[in-house]
Amino acid sequence: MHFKLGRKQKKEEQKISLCPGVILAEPVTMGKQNAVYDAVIRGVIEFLIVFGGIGGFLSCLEAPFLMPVLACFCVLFALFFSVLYASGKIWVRDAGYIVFFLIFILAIRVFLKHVNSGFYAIINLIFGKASDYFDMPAVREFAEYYTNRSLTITIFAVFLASVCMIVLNIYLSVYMSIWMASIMTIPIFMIPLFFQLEPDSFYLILLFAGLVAVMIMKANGHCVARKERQQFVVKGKQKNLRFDYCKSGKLMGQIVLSAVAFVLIIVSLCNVLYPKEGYAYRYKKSSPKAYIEDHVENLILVGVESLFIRYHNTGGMSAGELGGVAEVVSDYQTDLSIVFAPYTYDTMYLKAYTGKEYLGDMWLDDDSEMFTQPVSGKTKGVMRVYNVGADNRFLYAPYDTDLTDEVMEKYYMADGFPSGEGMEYTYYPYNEARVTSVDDGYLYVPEENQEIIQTFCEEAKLGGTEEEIIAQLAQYFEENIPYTIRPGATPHDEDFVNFFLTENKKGFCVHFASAAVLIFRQMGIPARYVEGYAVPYSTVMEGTLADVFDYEDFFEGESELGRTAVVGVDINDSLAHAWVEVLIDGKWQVAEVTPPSNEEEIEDFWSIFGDWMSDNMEGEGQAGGMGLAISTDQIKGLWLILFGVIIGGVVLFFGRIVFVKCRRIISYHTNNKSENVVAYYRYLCNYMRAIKPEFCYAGNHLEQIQMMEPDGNVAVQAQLAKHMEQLSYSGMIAEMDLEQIMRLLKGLRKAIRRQTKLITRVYMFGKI
Amino acid sequence: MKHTVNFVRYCFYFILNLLMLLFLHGYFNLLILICMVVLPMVSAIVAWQVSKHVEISFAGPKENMHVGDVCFLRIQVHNHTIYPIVNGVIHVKVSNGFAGVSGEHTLNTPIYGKGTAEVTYPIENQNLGIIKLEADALVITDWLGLFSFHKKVESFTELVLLPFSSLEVEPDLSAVESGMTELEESKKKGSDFSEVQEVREYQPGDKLQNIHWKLSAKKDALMVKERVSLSSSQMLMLVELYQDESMIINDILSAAYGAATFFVKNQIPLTIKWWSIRENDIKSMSIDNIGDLNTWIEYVYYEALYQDAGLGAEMLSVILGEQGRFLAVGSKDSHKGDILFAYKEVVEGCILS
Repeated sequence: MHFKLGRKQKKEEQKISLCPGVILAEPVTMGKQNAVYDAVIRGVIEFLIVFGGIGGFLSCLEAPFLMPVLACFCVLFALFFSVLYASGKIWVRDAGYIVFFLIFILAIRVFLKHVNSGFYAIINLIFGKASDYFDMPAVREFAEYYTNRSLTITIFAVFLASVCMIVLNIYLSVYMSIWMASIMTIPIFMIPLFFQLEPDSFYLILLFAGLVAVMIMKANGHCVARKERQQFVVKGKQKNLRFDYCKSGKLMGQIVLSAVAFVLIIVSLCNVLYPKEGYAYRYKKSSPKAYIEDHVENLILVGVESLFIRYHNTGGMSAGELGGVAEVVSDYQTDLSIVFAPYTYDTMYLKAYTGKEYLGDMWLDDDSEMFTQPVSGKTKGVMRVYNVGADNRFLYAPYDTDLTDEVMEKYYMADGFPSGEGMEYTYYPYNEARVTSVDDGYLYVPEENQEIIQTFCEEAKLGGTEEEIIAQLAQYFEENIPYTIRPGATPHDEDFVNFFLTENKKGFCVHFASAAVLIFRQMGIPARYVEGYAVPYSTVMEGTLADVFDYEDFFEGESELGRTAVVGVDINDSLAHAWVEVLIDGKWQVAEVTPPSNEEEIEDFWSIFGDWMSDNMEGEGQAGGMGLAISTDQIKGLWLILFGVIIGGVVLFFGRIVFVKCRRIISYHTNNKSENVVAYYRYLCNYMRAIKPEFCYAGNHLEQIQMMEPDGNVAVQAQLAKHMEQLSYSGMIAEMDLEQIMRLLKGLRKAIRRQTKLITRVYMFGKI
Repeated sequence: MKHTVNFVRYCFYFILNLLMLLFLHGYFNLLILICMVVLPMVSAIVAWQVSKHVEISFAGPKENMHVGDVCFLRIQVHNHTIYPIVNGVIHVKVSNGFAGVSGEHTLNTPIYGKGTAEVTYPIENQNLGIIKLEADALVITDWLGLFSFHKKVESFTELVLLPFSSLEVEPDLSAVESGMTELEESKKKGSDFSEVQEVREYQPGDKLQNIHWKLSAKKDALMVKERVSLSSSQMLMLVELYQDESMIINDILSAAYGAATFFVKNQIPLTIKWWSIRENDIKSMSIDNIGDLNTWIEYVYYEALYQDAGLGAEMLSVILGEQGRFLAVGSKDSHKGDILFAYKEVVEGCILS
């Protein structure tokens, strides 16, 4: 049972018979092979793939970069890693990786800002191309530390190439994996290809050539590094005997050349016969692509979160539904486009939805008229509203609009306000129309809310005139309940307003407006919930002058601003809003109680990502508002992580050594002395096998012992071998002899150590 | 199976790219698609071309080898085209006709463009005979592992294996002397079993041992003794070409070869006889030197072996009659006579009459 070692060796010794009486004295060979040459060829393939991939990607984006520098680094990395792997010695490989890792850390520490800047330059380039493709008015750009994009992109590309090269080298060396080679390169081209951006033919040829070479070698099952030590693998027996060669650097070189020639010819022919421009001319957008373009557009604007928006509405309208979303995410796309003549500094409200009855998780809409029928007066305005991407269920009309039969007919005929259509509203600012009677429903507070609302009113010490109550409430909200776009979703079994006022105590406009309506009603003021768009004067000022229209056609009468001009304003969903209307003096008036946001800006995915990658380092020449550098704290954090990783690695490394040693020592310190002797001998054999590969060919115990101690006493060795053989088979031996054998084995151990170099002993200390 | 795997894998990548093309309509994917359509065709054409212009040859040691020696046989694949092939599979047959054994295997080798791939077999032979290494077919797989092209080749090399001449065969000449008076007489005359018929001038090609040195000194010209062999005074050695399961023929031939070497070195004229099953007759060859001996053994390698241990001696006895004496080399106990030598305890050389 303990003689496995010997039997294994005998098996290894069996020679291969080509036919009875004709045996292979030594392995079949193909002449001397140059491992470095083989590695260099593999490095060339890696270079073709990585350089072709990265260079191609950058060329798609027309990104400026120093091609020779990137090429040089790619060559260096490719050669370094492929030669490292080809060495066949694990410790050399590991040491190489550690050295590279340290250099990488050092380099990234030095070039951190450059890498950061390069990364953002690429992101900005992608956004820029996406903006062109989607014809977006603008996309946000990440600020870059350095304006020299050529340098920063090159540095970023060099770092990226090093990482790609490590991974690719492993997969090509071990598996010659076409899958990994494809995965690492082709998918990144989907980004530019989506925006119809094509790579330069030069990089394309390099990339394709590399992939074709890998595909050829993968298909034929040769040229992997794990079989490097032998030239041929022997498979099968007798008639099925096969000698398969493992790899050939010369052949790999020829395959690479063939692949380059093939791809060069094909791509050149294609470029001549069916050029890129001609293909682009016939470009036809596929329906799946058209389908997801909206999502991609949102993705570009908002980030990953856009994929998880759970609003079933469009343009920020919830149509009275409450509490279904945990946060508000704007896509900043234009929902409405209005043309009008500004007449006031106040915010323009475009009313869409009016809620009357509160049901705990929604507002039911008001069956009554949207607006009090205005009275024609001295001032009259016209507003043209175009639905670009807003919810088509609503009209989006300014206050005091005269919803004429013509407008309503158009609305009902089209079953809403469809996208791409326009409405022309006539409205009467400063209108004096009054409501003669008020429905009790505008004063109704559900029973389950009454107590909480009453308590709240008492705490807020609300009282006085309507205006005073509105002002007190607005102030109370501002001081006590913060505005946030991420309040979290309201639990299903909770009342929206109660939960907001008593537990959550934070929210956005819908929360404040809903609560305010009930509070006003509790205080005896008729109130209702409204959704729509609030267009501040600052946004109006960002509009474009529509000088094709006459001012007189859009406004008549006096205005706060005097004679202005007709302007076109794009309204996006960040302007979507919920507010309160209260009835004061028979007129429904806007009561704004939503406090201003204390959040610095609405953060989307890219912002969060940017924040993670950066801190708010100021005054270093950033162009934009988003910081890009890693802050000192974050660097500390990274160093801590790195330190932790290193410490973890060291602990694992030494822990493994200790574990292996303990296990070994325990194996020959059991109560069974014969087991101990065998275990100790096994340890010596393992040691010898590790330091002398030819030890495997020792056919019996005597030969093994003689290899352990070449200058030992032959008679003693023969006796020891005999004992070991006896022990291995039967385990029966006198205890006295066992002690003697153990002493001899310890002597053998000393002899082994004598013939082992110090460096090898240190290495073996860690290994066995 | 491998072809199927490669085909499925290729189709997978093809479809993946096709989907990307349909989705993105990119020129990039179009080029990949074109490459993927053209590549199998190019690959097949290349493999077909190579199969037309590839040759296989063998190279081995020019001198005859001995049993137990390690010799290096090389298979060379010459490709006259510029296209490399990753997988060339050669069907190799190794046989020893004399020993009646053969084996087959396949050798997978790269085929270099405009070059020669050489694979070396370091082989060690345990049986006597002529080792024949032949390639009868070459299968060339294309680059993508989708197609295979079979090519018939007829290429081979032969390696003649000789027994070691320095065998431990030391014939006991006393037995010869006691049993063969003519031999003794001849030995006294100079260990020569032949008689001088005439003396003539030396001609190129004459053996040095026939030069009459004393007469040459007197006449100041090289004189040669023309001899006539006398069968009754020749050392006749019959070698039994007997084979059994233990491959005893190796030992018989080794023993005969060793004994013959001994006789040649001791300038004892020797004629080797053996029973040829093919010709149904006793064949003989006069051995004057080691070269003759090697020629004889090569000749014997083309003979058929028989299962009757004493067949050769029996047939020779019939031919020679009662007057004939000869040395029979065969398996132990197959002959009854005075033992001249023994080899490995399985072969004996006996004087039979």
